Amino acid sequence: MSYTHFWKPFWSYHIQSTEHWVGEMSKKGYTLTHFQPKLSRFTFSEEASPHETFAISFDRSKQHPLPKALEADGWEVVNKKRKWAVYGNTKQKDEVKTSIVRDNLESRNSKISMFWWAYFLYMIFSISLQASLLIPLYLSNDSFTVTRVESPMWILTYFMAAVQMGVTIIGIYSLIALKKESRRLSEEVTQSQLLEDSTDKPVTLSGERRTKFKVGWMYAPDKIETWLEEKEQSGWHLIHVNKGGVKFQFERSDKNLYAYSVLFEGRADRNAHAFHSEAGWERVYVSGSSWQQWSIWRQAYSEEMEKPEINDDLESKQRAAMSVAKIYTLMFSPIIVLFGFNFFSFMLPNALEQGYFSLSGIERFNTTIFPLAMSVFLISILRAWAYYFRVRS
Amino acid sequence: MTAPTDKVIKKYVPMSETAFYILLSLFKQPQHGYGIVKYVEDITSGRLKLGSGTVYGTITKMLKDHLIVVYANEERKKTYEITELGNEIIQREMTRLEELYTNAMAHRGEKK
Repeated sequence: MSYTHFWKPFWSYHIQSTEHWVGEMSKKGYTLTHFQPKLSRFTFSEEASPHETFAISFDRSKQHPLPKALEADGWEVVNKKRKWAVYGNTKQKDEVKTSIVRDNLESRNSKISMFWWAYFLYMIFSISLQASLLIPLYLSNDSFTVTRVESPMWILTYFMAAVQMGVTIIGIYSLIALKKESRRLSEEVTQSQLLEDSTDKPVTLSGERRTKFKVGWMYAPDKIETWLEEKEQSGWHLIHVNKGGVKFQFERSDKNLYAYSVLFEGRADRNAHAFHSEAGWERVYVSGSSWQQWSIWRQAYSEEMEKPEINDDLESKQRAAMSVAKIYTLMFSPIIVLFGFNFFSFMLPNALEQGYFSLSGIERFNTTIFPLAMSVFLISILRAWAYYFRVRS
Repeated sequence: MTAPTDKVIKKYVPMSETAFYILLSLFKQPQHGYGIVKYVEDITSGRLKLGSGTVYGTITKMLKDHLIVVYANEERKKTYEITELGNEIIQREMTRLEELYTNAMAHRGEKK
């Protein structure tokens, strides 16, 4: 039997077209016999394939289960290789009713994007550090000479530069491709699962209005819930929250009983949001980013009813609070350490030695702003943990 | 029975009322998220109204432990189905609850 190999770099960034391609190959009389996901290699044999429709699934646990409902619909696992599997169906695409869920794939893709963002942040950081060292040299009027010492080792420098260029290009490509892929994957979901925010645009009713600003409520979500509920009870109905989540607009209304719930998700989860809205919750705010997404939900209730909650058992409440405390500790503590190191080992000794007022403008600014920023970050972490302990008790 | 399975069984038996009712609602047929909430409300005559966050969190945990699997149905809605392992666990939990029930009844009878 003859085998044909194909090399499909970045195939996992275009999952639908890869699936389509495997389907096309099978129409031409080729069967996928083997695939090496890491090497992007697909091997086909020249024999008729029993399958018409294909789906490629990613499963971190490497189990690749086949739900009975999928099996009944004609699906089977054709090929497995560690975390990847190809599912095949003997039916035509439009006759297949069920499909696999791509949550695992989406979470993998967003992790890859996150890695590349971290890489570029690091690049920007190190380039600006080098620039801050070299620019004063260029700008100074003193003449200077740079001597290039001949050495065979220069080849290593060029080689590394080429590697760095290559990696950067792959990184840029990955970020763009994954952004598009994420849009394509979200379009797979039916319209019914996409949410429109009821308070997306300020309602143009001619009632009495009031605007309040709230900053940093993410570190104490329970407090903003209570605050919003009290506003409703005192006859101020929330009509709009701006994109940044700091400007809250209220309108004079009847006194209402509303339950508010603030949710935090490490990764934007459309499915979860569709579920909450089906369960009767109205989304009044969602933050723009696809990582670390905050959302505010509400539901009207009456006095005879128990107050509804999105997370209504202690375990899920604790889990939710823990993830908030954890993420801010992880995000802010490196900044505090970095700032603290700079401040305590350079700025503070310098300021003590020379006296604060004999420092130059920029030094004085830094010596003031660093401890300020550090305490803001520290307070945020402490508030997030205080929230966790409030929930626990 | 393999060791990891034993570990999962230990983790879930005994289980919380919420977890029990979620798994029980998948015992006979697959359900989507809101279907679970409705089903549980139904069979407890409205006593138990599970919060959607609680259900979603529990489902996520059960998916990770392979008690249930997920697929998208005709409307591309995420639907959950119990696995062999999930079935084994709910059966064990039912046996445990049966014992609880019989003992409770027996002692109530003796007192009179």
